[in-house]
Amino acid sequence: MARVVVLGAGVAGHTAALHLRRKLGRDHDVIVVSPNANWNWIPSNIWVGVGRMSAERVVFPLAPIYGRKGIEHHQAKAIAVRPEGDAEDPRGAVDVVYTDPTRAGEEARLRYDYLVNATGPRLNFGATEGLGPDGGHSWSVCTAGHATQAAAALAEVIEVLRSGRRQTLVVGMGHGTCTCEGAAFEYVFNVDHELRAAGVRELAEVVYLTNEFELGDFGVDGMSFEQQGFRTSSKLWTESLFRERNVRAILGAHVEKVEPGVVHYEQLDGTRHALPFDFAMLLPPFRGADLVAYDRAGAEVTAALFAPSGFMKVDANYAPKGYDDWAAEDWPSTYESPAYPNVFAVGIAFAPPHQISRPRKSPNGTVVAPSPPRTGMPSGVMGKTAALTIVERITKGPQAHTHTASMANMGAACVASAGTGLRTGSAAAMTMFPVVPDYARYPGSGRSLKDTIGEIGLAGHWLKLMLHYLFIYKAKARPGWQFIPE
Amino acid sequence: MTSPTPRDDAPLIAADRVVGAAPLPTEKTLKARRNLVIQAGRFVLLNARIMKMVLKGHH
Repeated sequence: MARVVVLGAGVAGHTAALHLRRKLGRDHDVIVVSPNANWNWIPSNIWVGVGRMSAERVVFPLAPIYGRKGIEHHQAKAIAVRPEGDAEDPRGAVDVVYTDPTRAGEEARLRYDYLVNATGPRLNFGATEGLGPDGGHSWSVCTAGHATQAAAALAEVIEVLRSGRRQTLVVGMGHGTCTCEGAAFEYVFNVDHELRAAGVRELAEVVYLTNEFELGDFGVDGMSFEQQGFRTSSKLWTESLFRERNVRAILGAHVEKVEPGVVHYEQLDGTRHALPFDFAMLLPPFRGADLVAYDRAGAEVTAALFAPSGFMKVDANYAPKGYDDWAAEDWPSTYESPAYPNVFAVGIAFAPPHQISRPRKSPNGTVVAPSPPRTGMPSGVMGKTAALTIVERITKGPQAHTHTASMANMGAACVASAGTGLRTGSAAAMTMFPVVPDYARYPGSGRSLKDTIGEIGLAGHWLKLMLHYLFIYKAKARPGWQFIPE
Repeated sequence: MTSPTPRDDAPLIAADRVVGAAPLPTEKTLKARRNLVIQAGRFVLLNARIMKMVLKGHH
């Protein structure tokens, strides 16, 4: 009998747990450790954040699903990994602290034969003074709760606009090293949509504040598209959308501080600026879960498993090299820890070997470098890949086939959709293949021009609506869930 | 409430110059983006592209 522990129940962890349970007999244990009681379809938080959807429609409790599927669920937060076990037991172990209200604060040590680290990001609001809704002065849409707060604040601003007073709304990235520019891009156009729907758009100044060097970068160094016989760029495509919707932009910015009603930022040329606002939704940078690792004797070995960012090192090439020297094959494909082959890290939890978007520094030494996105589709695929490898090793032995899924051979779709009606919404939809450019395979742009597209229209909006219902159905493990691709 | 901090518009004006040079969609394009028949076709195509990507990325 084998015990597989999955840390985290987001897209990557939940997908891994469901596939492990589907493929492994009931004589094996699948255990999920998650500090949250609920699952959240995070892409739809954007709609919650403008009041178009209630938080209840994007979250659901995990316990009934895990109970039905025979997955052991611990509502707890992992704090330490002991990959060599301890004096009592040589099996790997994870130390957890319960967040379950009935056991709050209680500590336990869970043994494992295989570990999947899918802890996702720690929302690092502390990296920027005054950032975030908890003690800070800006809003967030990273959780359903944050999004609900943002929607209430936006509704207040719309009321002020209705009274005839001008307002400035700022949406974007709260630090120079943020990722998920696509989410901020989607939110800013949802805000624009709501302001238009309320009939107050002409009184509002909407500003997109970003760490991207140019619009359309999205943390993936931009994209090339073929449209109507021309090769164009995501830069031009995105700029066109900003012009059409009259959304202003501030580029290459590192937010230094958020004060009540004022955001202070430095730009890549080293100049510092202040922008007063009436509403600001600024995403935080991400860190790893900051797990501590110990060897069997109890000595700390965190650096053997984790990068300084708190993300777990896997089968990537972490050798220091310049941005122009990296290659697609530097990216991981098995997500296995090089130190412990029974430990995997998937989704945001794995340490990327380098930025996809070119990192830049201001003359003051401030790093303005969008971090690589690894959410959504890629997260699910990684979770499934690690699960299938573990299943093979448990059922066929340690030399069994290792499944692979590199982000340099994986596509992703990003749909920025505004409105929730079937006829009134609109969307900017992008697909890219692969996520990590492979210049050897696709000379020039690094991506397949057939599979990398940008499109604006209702079709993308329908796609986003379909994905909302489809992925929640899949996450609830309803009949046939396994046939819905990650 | 707007803070008394003075506005510093230089970065916005710099970006306005770049964005202002981008092409604007024509009325015909805007209509096509809302046309149910055209968009139904695009929806099928988008789904086909995504499925192709999914299949290419799985091993």
